Parts: sequence; structure tokens; C-alpha cells
Amino acid sequence: MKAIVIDKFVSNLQELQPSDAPIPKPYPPRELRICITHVGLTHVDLLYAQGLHQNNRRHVIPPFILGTEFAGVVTSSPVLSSLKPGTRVFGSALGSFAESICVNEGSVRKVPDNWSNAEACAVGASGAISWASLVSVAKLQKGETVLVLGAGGGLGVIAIQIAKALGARVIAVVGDKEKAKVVRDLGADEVVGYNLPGWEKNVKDLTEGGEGVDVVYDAVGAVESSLKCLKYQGRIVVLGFAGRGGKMEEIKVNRILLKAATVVGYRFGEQGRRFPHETEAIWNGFMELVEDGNIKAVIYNGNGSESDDDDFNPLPEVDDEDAAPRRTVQQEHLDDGDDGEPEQAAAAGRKSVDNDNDDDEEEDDDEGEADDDEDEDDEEDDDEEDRVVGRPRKRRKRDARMQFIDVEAEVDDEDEEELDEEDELPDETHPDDLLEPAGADLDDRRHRELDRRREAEATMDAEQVAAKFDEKYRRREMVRAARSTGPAPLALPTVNDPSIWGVRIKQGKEREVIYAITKRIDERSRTRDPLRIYSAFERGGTMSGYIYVEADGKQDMLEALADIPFVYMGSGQISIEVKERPDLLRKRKKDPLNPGDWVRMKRPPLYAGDLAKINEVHANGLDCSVYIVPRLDYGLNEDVNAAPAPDLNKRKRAGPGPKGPRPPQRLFNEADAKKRHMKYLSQTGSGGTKHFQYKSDEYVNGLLLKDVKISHFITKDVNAQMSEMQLFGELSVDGTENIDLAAIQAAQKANTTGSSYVPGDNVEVYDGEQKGVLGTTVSVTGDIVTLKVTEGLLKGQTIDAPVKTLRKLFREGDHVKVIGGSKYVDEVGMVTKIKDDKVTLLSDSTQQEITVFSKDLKRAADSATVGNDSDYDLYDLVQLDAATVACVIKVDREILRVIDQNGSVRTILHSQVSTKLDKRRNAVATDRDGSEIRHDDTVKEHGGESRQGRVLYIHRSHLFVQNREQPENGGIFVVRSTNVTTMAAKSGRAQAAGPDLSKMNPTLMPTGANGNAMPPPRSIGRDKLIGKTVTVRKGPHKGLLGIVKDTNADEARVELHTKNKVITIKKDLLSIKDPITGNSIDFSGKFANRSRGTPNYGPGGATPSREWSGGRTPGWGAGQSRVPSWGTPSGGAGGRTPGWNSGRTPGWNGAGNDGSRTAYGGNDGSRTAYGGNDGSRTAYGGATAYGGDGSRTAYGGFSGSRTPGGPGWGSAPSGSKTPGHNTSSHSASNGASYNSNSYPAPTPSAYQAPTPAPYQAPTPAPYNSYVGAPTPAGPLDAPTPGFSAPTPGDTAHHPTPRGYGGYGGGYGATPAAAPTPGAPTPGQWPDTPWGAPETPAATGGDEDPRYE
Amino acid sequence: MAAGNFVPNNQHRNLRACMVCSFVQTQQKFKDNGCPNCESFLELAGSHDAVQECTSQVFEGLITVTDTTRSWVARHQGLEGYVPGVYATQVEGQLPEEVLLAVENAGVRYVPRDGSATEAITRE
Repeated sequence: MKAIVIDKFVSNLQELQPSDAPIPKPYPPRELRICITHVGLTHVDLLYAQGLHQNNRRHVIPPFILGTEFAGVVTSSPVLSSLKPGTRVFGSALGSFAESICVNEGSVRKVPDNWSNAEACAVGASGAISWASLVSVAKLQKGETVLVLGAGGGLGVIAIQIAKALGARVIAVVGDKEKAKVVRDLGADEVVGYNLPGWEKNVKDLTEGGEGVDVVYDAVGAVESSLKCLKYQGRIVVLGFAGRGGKMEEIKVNRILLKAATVVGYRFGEQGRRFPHETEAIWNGFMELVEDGNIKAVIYNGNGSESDDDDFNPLPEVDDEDAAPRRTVQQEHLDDGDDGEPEQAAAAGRKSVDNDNDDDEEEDDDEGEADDDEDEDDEEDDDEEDRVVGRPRKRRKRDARMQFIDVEAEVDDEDEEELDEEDELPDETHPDDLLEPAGADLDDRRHRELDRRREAEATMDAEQVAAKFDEKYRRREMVRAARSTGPAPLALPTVNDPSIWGVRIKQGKEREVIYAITKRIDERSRTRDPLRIYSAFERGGTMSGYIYVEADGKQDMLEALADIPFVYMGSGQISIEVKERPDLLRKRKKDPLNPGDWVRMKRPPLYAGDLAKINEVHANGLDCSVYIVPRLDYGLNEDVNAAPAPDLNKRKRAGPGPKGPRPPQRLFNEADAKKRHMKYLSQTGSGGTKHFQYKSDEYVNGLLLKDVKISHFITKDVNAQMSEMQLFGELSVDGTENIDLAAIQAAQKANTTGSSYVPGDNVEVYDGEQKGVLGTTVSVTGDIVTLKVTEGLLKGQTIDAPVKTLRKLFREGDHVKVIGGSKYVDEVGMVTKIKDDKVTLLSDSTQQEITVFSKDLKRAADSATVGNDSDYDLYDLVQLDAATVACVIKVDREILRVIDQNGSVRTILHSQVSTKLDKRRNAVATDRDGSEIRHDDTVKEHGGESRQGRVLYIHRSHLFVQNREQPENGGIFVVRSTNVTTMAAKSGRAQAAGPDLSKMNPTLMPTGANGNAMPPPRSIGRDKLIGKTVTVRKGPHKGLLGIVKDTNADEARVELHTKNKVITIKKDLLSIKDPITGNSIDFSGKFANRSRGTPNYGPGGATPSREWSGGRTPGWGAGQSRVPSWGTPSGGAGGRTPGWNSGRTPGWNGAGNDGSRTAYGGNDGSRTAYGGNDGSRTAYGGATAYGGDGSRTAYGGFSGSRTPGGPGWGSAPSGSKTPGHNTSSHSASNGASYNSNSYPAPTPSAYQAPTPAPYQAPTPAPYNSYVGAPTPAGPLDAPTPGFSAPTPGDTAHHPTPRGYGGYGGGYGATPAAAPTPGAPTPGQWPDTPWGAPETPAATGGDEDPRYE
Repeated sequence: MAAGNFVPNNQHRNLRACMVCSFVQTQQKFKDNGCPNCESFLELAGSHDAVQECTSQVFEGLITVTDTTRSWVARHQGLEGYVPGVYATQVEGQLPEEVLLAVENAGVRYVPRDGSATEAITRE
């Protein structure tokens, strides 16, 4: 389609041509597509085309289609719309100079049946304005007389008809005969030409009794004249000043009084913005008149109006097609392209030709604002007129006005919304046009003129200007001088005033220098040669290092400063320019202090740099009471011997720098104060509050309440940290003023720094001179953000803006979070509407729409994720204090939400976390049934809510359990381990995961409890496994047969029979087969000959440990021969077994019971001990099971709680370990009883000694047995037993050996305990273990450490 | 010419400024002699409390003036007609209500010297 597209702003309106543009598509929900039949050309359009309108900064940016007013026919509309295709409509929207347009339904209105589109387009919004001003504002009544100024204008013609429709008598003021005719035709009762001097009198004469009119409808800005025409108590409605060419009228106000006049201004556009519903009513009111046929549009013939420009103004309307042809004359230059397209032509034509309709809108707002600047323009216009060639005169007039408007447009930010503007309307043109011939042809030309003029002015003799100003301000001052005090506003310096020089001086000596000068002034004042300076001043903080001297001549200034200390005369003096002088004295307005503000102390030195909170600001504004976190040592560091008196005196002088380090910040502690300073302390508060008087200060709720001067703290850049504020929060424990952590946190977020902007952010400047500029951040330096402007006049330029004036730009649909400024803090939602800096969002949580300032919003991209600047993660286990651990359930930038071991949820600062705890892999707990619980086990609460979940952390007896289905606290809850049952155990998980247990206790390892211990023997000689035929029991190769080719500590390389491949596989996974029969050969069986044969084997000590360490036992079990031997005395080593049992068991018991010693004590002491142990024995019943192999269970039973279980084992062998464990668990309960029973006296050492012994002894044995006693036993095993040997040796003087003996005997000597076939066995026993002792004996005392 | 506007360094800490006229001198002088410009209505002399209330030790910028009429600085500061001497550019603090009343009654248009008023007055 054809349209006038503005790709870039033009400087010459003649360049505008229709071009091809894509046909717009309606945006589905609400837009209509309209085929345009008529358009109105308004002044706004002209400004738009040139980029001079304020909207060009933001809303109207190329490329766009020109045009704002139109009438046409709907071609497509939404289903629900009342405007069906085919409906004739008129309205306003950007882009009307085209064949079709898509607009929101609200932007258009139906064309009344009795109007043509042309008429509708012509009337536009002026009808509503006129109606509102006469009916709503002036309250025009039937029978009253109304004077319509600018009656021939767009507003006037409508106003006449409305007034008539209301039954009023209308006197119209016009400028020429043609218009006179027009208005008469419209119904004006009387017509007066305003170009006659004294026309006001004519008006009055036409009224009844010459009293004047009741109402004046003034669209031209002739209030003075209006007043003259007015009758007593009349009303004047001021709609605009279009006729004044920018020069505002000065009214003799007494006339208002004399007439008792009501002068009312009316701004349609603004009114609509403020009270939208009124607009609707106004339109309805006006349209009623239209429907009644009272209103008809006026369309001037273009030629006509032009030819006589002298009239009143122009006329409004313009319309399209019709107009175009008529105005051909004027359109000469445009015509070319247009012919084909009526509409286009019309548009174009109008554009060049008539502006009439149009200006309206802008003027509406502009009116009030005209200033001096504009005056100048007008003056110039005159001169220019003649130069214009070939342009209709009228246009020129317009131009004059445009000039005015442009300036306005650039200044005035108010109308940013196009729509608003369009609603508003016009004023009109008027008489003044005649008086002031319009000038320039084109807008830019006017601008140029203006520039020139300003330049000229600038070069005007400065003296003259100065004189002018001087006079101007002098006058004012004189008026004021007599009485005024305080700064005289705008006492601007002039060239007649003395000069001011700036002089460099030593920084910090400003006051001193001023007083030095004062002194000199004083001294010289009484001489005949006083100093000839007028004043000298300094601005301390703001311009340090300078003083300024006011004097007529430089010599005077130099004289005054000569030889004054600290003045740097050598560096030259700067003469301060006149216009800069006021800046020297500019005051810095300080923000008022408010209670609750945070400040940072400067003095006294003790608290320098500390954060303080204002409690109260005293009336004089100079003193405040503030809360400070005290720094007290309560006299603890006092030197009691120091003589107090002199010290006190001196300290006053000592100035800053307290002695020694100052005490840390700590809330006031009554108890501490009482310790040494009871005499200084008194409690003043009553009831719950804690008010203390300590020394001379008052302490409230732990905080020092101190009166300070406002100069003793700073209020800027306080930058309070959470950790600091926290102390203030705690102080008010009683709830008086608890700090809302979340609010502070949010506030801090809101307090954006540059760091919250990253290059590429879309931002908008929302404050300051560049308000409204949109851009993309390029870089951020400190608090200055550099942005590249993306829209508007500055497009493409790079500007700097302080962070605080920026906001991120949001678009509808963005997900944002409220970070401050309102009660909606922390709400998260989606932006649904943006108006100016107010953003409406649909809250995610409440599903309600809330409106907040955009500065209080931030994009919520990070709301779903954890702030990345936290050291803690969700579900971390953290240590809060020595006794408290907690699990993190929410992480935010400044705060953590945690659930502690007691199940209470609290919000803490990051800084309150003392450390983060790692997950202890081996942590184990037991449930109420004694089953073990490990991380990630599923447990179920017993009783209570029967919650269940996965164990996240085990902390002592507390479990942090996670249940993802539980919404609160991030799914975490805390239970005591004794209150849960293990789900996994129920389901039969192999609890007897022996190996884990042993791994857990390193001390077991050396005992050969698991495979690792095996290596020593193995490393000697060739591995027996090599060359054996084996099958793989597990894994991918399961079932395959092969031959072991090589082995290392725990792996074997097996050549598979089937695949001709060598694999490396754990030895554990192999079972040895008889190559011929294919029968399995038990490992032990394999070596059975040896081991069986040797009594060593017997020392099940190894065995049990095996079992415990898992896996082994069954292995043993597998060994056919073994089982029986264990179980029954009749086993291979029949004698042994029993010995074993008897000796062993107790040994075990001993070990097990309370970590072993006890038992031993019992052992050597007497059997009774065993009896005592029996309780545990029973538990051992489990142990019995272990003959089978359910050793695990036995364990559980054995040691009441988990911990000991593991250690219990380990403890057995290792002297010191054991006790540790004992304490924690079992022994606590049982042990006590054991102790009481079993040992009367034995010292711990005695205990320890035995403990290892028995274990130790057996331990090596297995090795031997495995490996075959002879070889390795000697060197390798030796140490182990060796230790044990000594142990008893030294520590247990009698009992031990005995025990030992008993033990070793147990084996050998077990018989003592249990008479069994001990004899043979022992015989052998002793060899190995006992033999060993000697060797190690040397190391005697070591045992403990070694064992550990 | 009021003699003795000079204040030695060691007395600088005791300087105060009149909240009405911004005249600066030591507290002791205020107490002994009152404010040279405002004494008629402030009645500072001899009254420690009045000195505390009507003068401020929080002020900024010192101006020493020899001719308060001819000096533009003085005029800009609204010091016209005052005695020569040392004044402050900005004085913090607020006068008590009753003093304000006294000031008004004395026919003096009081403009706060703390910078809060400059914006408000602007042009007439």
C-alpha cells in the first residue's frame, strides 16, 4: 500500500513522498483494520516528520508512518468488537497517512450517520473539548450570552454550535468577513470583527444593557479583552494561547476583582489523563448533540482561507479527498506523486498546506509554559515573512506558531503518550496572526533564526546585559533588603560586583587562613589604610585547599594575603567568572535525619567507624541519640594500680587514639559489668526492658544509647553490612524492634551498584536530565554505567549515567521480583502492564495484580536458582555453634534458612555459620531395633507422623531425613535415630555387610581382618594360587574356567579356557576348582593341610575377625572341614575347638562387652567376671550365631549402639581404641555394671594389657595357619604378637600374664577356663605366639600407640 | 568595625554560628556579648541556654566580610546590613519554635541557613 513513511526525519517537509509500505496486520485480540478515506493534517504531524516532537524521543521513532488523524471504514475487526466491517469510524492513531491502518478499538469512534467521513475527520476531538469547556467547566446555561473568541477556528465553530444547542446567545469574534459568514451560518447571533480597535466595546454594546457577556470562550489567549467584555460575575474559560504567538498576556489582576470574574483554565488532554472517566462522559455528551443534528462540521475551502489570510484563523478542518482537489493551488509542489491516489494526495496536500486543524494538541499543553524565549521568536517572524515564496500565507502563520510549539515540544516531557495527545485538542488560531505576521516558511528555519538570535544576544555587550540584570535584581533586592535575612535568592553576581579570586592554600588550613585574614582586617581597619577586600571565604569540605577573596582589584587581594601563612601565592590566583560565582556559595542541602537511619560514627574514637542507628533527633537538629553496639571491657583491662586521677585528666587531652586495642563490639552484658564495676552499674529500666546505667552511659537492651552531635557521624555511604545490623536486631530480643532480616536483605539488593548491571542489559534512564533515554549497557565502571542509546534522538550515541538513575527495562511478560519499596517485597510475578515507571505484575503467589515502581523490580531470572554468591548450597550440613548443626533448606544472598538438629527452623546470616560440615561417609547410627542406619538409607519414623525418607545426614543420634514429597523445609525433617526403623533392613538388605564395618575401623585392618592384611605372608614365595584352576564366581566372566597365571596382592590374572584370553580379576571372585574333577576346593581346604594341621588354625581369633570383616566366614563355612571343626569339638582340631570356644568366647566377651577390657579384667581376675559378662554373653548369643555366620546381628546386640559396635571390634585388638568407644556407647550402660562387678581394682592399664593380648595372639595365628606356619610366621607375624606380649608384660604385672597365660593358655591354657582338650593345642600354640614375645619385648611400652 | 573578630586556632573548636544571621564567634563571646546582629531579639548574652539553642556549632564555610553591602558574597548570603565580621556559609540546626516567633515578631524574615531553603525560595 502507499503511505508516507518516515525512514528518517526530514528537514524539508517537501521531501515527503508517498512510498510503498507493507499492509499492516491487525494484532488479533483487539485491533481493527481500517481503510482510510480521510485524514487530517495536524501540526503534530509536521513535527513528527521532522523529529521535533517530544514523542520522537521515545514513541515515534523511524521508521514510522506519518499521520495521526483519520476517518475511514472498518475492513476487519475482532469477533467481539461492536465495530463490524463496513462501519465508518474516525479516530486518531499514528500512521494515518496510509491506505489502511490497524488500531485498537478504543482509538476510534463510529461516525454519526448524519456526518460524512470528511466531517467526522474535521471535527476530531475539538467537539469534545468545546463541549466540555462550555458545559462542564463554564456551566453555560440557557439564555446566557457567550462570547466565542476565535470563532472561525476549529474549536470556535464547534463551540458556537454547542452554545446554540444549549440555548445560549452567541457572540462570535472573527477576523474577516468570510469567517463572519461562516459563523453566522452556524448560528452565531452576533459577529464582531476583532481587527477593529475597541471591539470589546462593540461586544458589550451587543449585550443586554451593555453589561457584558456571561461567559467567554477563549481559545486564543486574550484574557484581558475577555475581561473587558465580561459582565459582573462572568466566567472565562481559557483553552489556549494559540493566538498569542507565544507571548503571554499580562493581565491587570484588579480587573478580575472588579468584575468578580471567574477565570478557569481547561486542559482536555491532561484532564483525560487524570480523570479518564470524565473523558468518556464528555464524548457521550458531545455525541448526543451530534446525534441530534445540532453539530455540523465546517470544512473550509482551502483556497478561500488562504487567499485571505487575514482572518482569524484558519480553520480547522481539513479533510481529505475533498480538500485535496480544492486546494490544488497550494499543493503544487506536492501534486506530482499523488495523483494516483486520492488519499495520499489528500494527505500530502494537507500536509504542505494546512495546518489548521492541528496545532491543537500541542498547544493544549503548551500554553502555560511559554517563556521568554519564545518572545524572541515571534519578533523575528515578522521580518521573515517576505522571504517566503510561493507558500500560502497561512502556512506561514502556522509556522510562527509551530516555532513556538517546537520549543515547547522539546522542553515539555509531559505528553509522552501519543494517544493522550490526540485526545487533546486544540486551540486555535486567532486574531493575533494578523497582528503578527508569520514568518518563516519552514520549521527548521525558525530554529535557525532562533539560534542566530541567541548568538547575537550572547555577543551583546556584556556590560549591557549586566546592567540589565543588575537592574532587574537590584530592584528586588531593595524591596527585600530592609527586612530580609538569610540568603537572598538569585542575588546574582554582575560585572559591577567585585571580582573574586580563588587562591590555593594548604589543605586543612582554610579556617586558619580566614581568621588570619580577619585578624589583618581587624588590625588594618583602624588605620588609614584598611584592607580593600570585601570578603574572603572558604568552603571547607567542598572546596578544600582554596580560599576565595572578593576585591575590586587584584592588587588589593594580593595585599590582603601577603605573608599569610599557608597561602600559596606562588601558584597563581584564579579569577572566578561571574557566572560561576554562585556555585562557590551553593549550599548543600542535607537530607534530614530520621530515627531508624543508619549512620557511621566518626567520634568518639572508641566507636569510630562503627555502625549506629539513630534513635531520636533532637529538636535543634544538631544532636541525636543513637544506638551503638558498645565496646566495653568492663574494667577487665584496667590497671588497678594506676593512679586514676591524673590519668583522667590526661586522657582528655590525649585526643584520638585510645590506649591499646579497643574492645570488640559486644552487647552490654550485665554480668560482666557486675564483676568489677558493680559500683558503676545501676538498673534504671522497669519490667522487661533492660535499661542500665553504667558509668555515665545508658544501655538499653544491650545497646549503648548515646547522645552525639550530628557532626560526629556520617550519614552518607554508610553501607551497613548485614553482620553489623544483626547486632542491632538481637538487641531487641523482647521484640520491640526486631530487625527483619528479609527486609534488610531486600533493601540491600535494591541498593543497586554497578555490579548489578552487565553489558547488554536493556536499561532506561528514569531520573535526571536524560530521563527517558533507552539504551543498552556497554560497560560498567563503579557506579557509572555507560550505555549506548538505542532509541530516540540520541540513538547510537554513548552516554554515561549514574547507576542510581537507571533502571532495567522490563517488557511485558518478563518475570520479575519486587525487591523493595513496597509491601510487596519479594513477590515474584509476570509483568502485565507497564505505564511510565509503574509496572503492574501478576504475582505468582497470590495471582493478584500488583503495581510497583520499576525501580523496585529486578528481573527474576535468579529467583529460581540459588544466589550464586553464597558459599552454601541447599542441603549442606553446617555447624552453627559447638552444639548445633543444621541443614540448609533455603539459600539466599544474605541469609540462609536452616533446620537444626532439634528440628527448629531458623533464618541466619551466612556469617553465623561457623563451618560447613562434610558428609561423613562412614557415619552410622542404629535405629530403634538396633539395625544400622547409613546415609541414604530409607528410614521410617516410628510413631509420630510415620514420615519416611532418605537419610541425608547422620549427626550423632540425629538424622536429617529428606522426603521429597514433603513440601515444608525443603523436604527435610529431623528425627532421632532411635525413633526410626530402617526400611531397608526390613526388606532384608544384607545388614551383615561385614566388610564395611571393618573398613570403618582401621585398627582391624592390621589384624588381618580382611584381605589386605594377608599380603605379608603371601608376598613370600610364590602365591599358591598361581597355576590353580579356578572359576569366576561373579561378574561378566562368571562361571568361566581358567588358570591363574599370575597374582598380586588381591588380583589374579586368569587365563580363561574358553576365550583364550587373560583377564585380571579379584582373587575374591575366584573359586578354586580341582582341574580334574571340577569340584570346588575350598581355599582353606586348599591350604587345609597346613592349617588344619596346625593348632594355629584354631585360634579362631583370626576366624572371628574374618567373619566380622565379612565374607570370610562364609568362606570358612564353605570349607567343609572347617565348619565342623568350629562348631564341634570334634573338628579336625577337636581339642582346639573347644579350647577355642571356651577361651575365646570369654575373650570375646571381654572385648565385646565393654570394649573388652572389662572382660579381661574379669578374665584374669576370676571367672566371675565372666559371669558378669554373661549378660553380654547372651548378647553373644548372637555371637553364637556367629559360629554360623550371622555375626553381624550379634554385633548389634552386643553393643547397645552403633558406634561401639564397630569400634567394639576394633577395640578389642587395640588397647586405646577400645576405651574411646566404650565411653561412647556400650560401656556407658553396661560397662558400669561390669566394672562394678568384675573388677575390683584393676587399673586401666591392666585392662589394656590383656585386651590386645588375646586378640593379638590369635591374630597372627591365622596368618600362620593360612600361609603355613613355618615360613612367614616367624618374621612377619612376630611383631604383632610381639606387641601383645610385651603389653601384658609390663602393664599387667600379675593378672595380665595370668590373663595372658589364661588366654594364651586359654588356648593352651584355656583349659583352665574350660577344660578341654587343650593340652595338645597349647602345646603348639605357645610356639608361635609365645615365642614371639621375646622379640618385641624390647618395645615394651609401645603397645598402645602401636595398636592404634 | 567590630574589633576582635579574630579567633585563635585553639579556640576554633569552640566556634558557633548564629542560626539566624550565621555570624560566627566563640561560644564564650556569644554568651558575653550576644550576636552582634540578632541580639535585639535573640537575647543571647548571658544565657547559656539561649546560646545553645540559637547558635550551632555545626556550620560550614567561613566568610570574613568587611563590607556587607558592597560585597556580592555578602549579598548573596543575605548578610546585607550586618556588621562586618566572620560568617558561615551554611549553618545546620533548627531554631526552637518560640525563637522563630520572636524572630518573626522582630520583623526579620527568617530564612533557614541550613541550605534547606534555597531551593524553596528561588525566584519570586
